[in-house]
Amino acid sequence: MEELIETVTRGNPTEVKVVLASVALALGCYQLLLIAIGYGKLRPGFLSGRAASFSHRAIGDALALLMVVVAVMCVSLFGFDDDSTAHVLAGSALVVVLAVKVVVVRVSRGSSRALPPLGLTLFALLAVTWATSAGAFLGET
Amino acid sequence: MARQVLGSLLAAVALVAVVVVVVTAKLGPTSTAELDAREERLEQRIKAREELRKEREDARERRQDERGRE
Repeated sequence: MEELIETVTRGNPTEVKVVLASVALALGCYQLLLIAIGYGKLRPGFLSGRAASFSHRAIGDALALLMVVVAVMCVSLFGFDDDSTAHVLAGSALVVVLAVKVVVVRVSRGSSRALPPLGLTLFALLAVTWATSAGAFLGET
Repeated sequence: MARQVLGSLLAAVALVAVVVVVVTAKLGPTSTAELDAREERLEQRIKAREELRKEREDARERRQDERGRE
């Protein structure tokens, strides 16, 4: 797996991971905006709640896949490094909460009351995971 | 509604493009390819300097030999 990642990223796995994680965080912020419109907390004239919810779901599917790809790259390349406990804990919790959210969405068909707190938790974990790895890396460069 | 969905998805694509460009620009010369190229250029420079030094030494030795024969 490590060799495959090295080949696909043309020898720049860390940099590619940083870019992908940053894209995931940016999409996470956008998801918050969309679902705020979806739940009627924000009411811009150019986007209806229904359209925002639909886009939230579509982007969420892509984002979930992106997060899994980044997680696989991270674990394959660095494993569970002792030096970055906060990142390991946040990343592991992120994967668990993501799995729980996917199950809840599938079972409740998107109508469960647990979804908003799960979504916020997911975003918070994504932010912590990014800050303790990609953010720190970008700060160093 | 379809137009709104399409618009919000296009906005997401634009956001992704902006993030990729900004982060890649920020990373810039830390990429392995760039570092390898830089290392290669440095090696070539060191090699060229080494060759020049060797040529000078050889020329000096030749001159000393010639003086010795005289």
